[in-house]
Amino acid sequence: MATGSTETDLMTDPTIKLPDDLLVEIISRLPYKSTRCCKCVSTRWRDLISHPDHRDKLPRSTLAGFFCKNHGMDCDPRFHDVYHSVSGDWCPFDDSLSFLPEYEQLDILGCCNGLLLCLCSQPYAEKPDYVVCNPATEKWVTFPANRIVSFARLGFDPAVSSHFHVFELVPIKGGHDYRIEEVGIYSSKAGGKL
Amino acid sequence: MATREAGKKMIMLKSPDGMEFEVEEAVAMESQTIRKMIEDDCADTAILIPNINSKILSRVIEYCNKHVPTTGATGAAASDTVAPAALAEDLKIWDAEFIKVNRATRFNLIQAASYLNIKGLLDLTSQTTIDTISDNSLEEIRSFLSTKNDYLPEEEQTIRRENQWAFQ
Repeated sequence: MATGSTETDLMTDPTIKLPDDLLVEIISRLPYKSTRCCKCVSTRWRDLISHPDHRDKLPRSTLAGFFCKNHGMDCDPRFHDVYHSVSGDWCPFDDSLSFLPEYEQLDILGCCNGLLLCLCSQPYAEKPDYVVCNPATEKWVTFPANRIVSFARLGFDPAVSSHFHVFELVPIKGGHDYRIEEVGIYSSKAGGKL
Repeated sequence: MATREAGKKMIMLKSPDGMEFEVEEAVAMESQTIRKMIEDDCADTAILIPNINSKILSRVIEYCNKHVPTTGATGAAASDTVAPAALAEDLKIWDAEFIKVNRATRFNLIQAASYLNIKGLLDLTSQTTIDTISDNSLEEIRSFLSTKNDYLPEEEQTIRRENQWAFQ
């Protein structure tokens, strides 16, 4: 049976703290934006929120928006694409994609669940490069295209795998329609992980 | 408080400080942890609830008593006369009174609700903490949860800069 004095101590003890799992439980009920504020509370909170074990429990960024082409004549070709956010609960990122290596021309071909697929060309390069990047983490991987003219699409589902695939559709040489001669598949499993 | 009625199965809950609480099985089964023990036949005559002292355990039982769905003859009569909306409103007022406790008690209740897996009680007890985190400045969150800011000044500057957007 608890004595009166220890009970009083327990009820007024200013140092009583929630254990880690309960703190995570509470933080997991907050919107993503508030979890970012929580990171600034103390190093314990930061470490809890950043810990990989808690990633599935805590809310994720609902970063959502779209890139659109801006065909201004006076625009720097690198900054053709303008990003528009459609979710208020967003984390700002470098939407000019300036974290990528220098390319003369950069075209966004597509996106899939947060990753962007771009076709980038250097002056006088024989073939362009495909670049797959994650604008939120500023990580990217690059690999050469098989032909100078090709189309590509990106496949990525983080719920299934942390790896992505790029499907390169190579049209028939000299053909005027979109008949495909060859399909190349690039898997990030063999290359870098974003 | 629930009175012992014929035909209702009773369960004995024991706190580590030696107190015993006799509760209806349906009330005890508001806790998913206890429900599992009963369903798996792990519960004999008494269930020892570790880490939860008698003061907190009695509050938890009080909550479960209030929130247990009313069934059977008396329950049917009650729901005939009282509209569900009014019942819900009554529970809400009761909850608001129930949670008027000091911080240490609330933290203990959160721990108990988590261990005993009582979702409603966990939601209720953590809500004040959630509200504090959502609506207050960093300093207020720290003082509310008695958390010390242990960032080095330059570290704090960096983390504040990285997450500045979240404060706007």
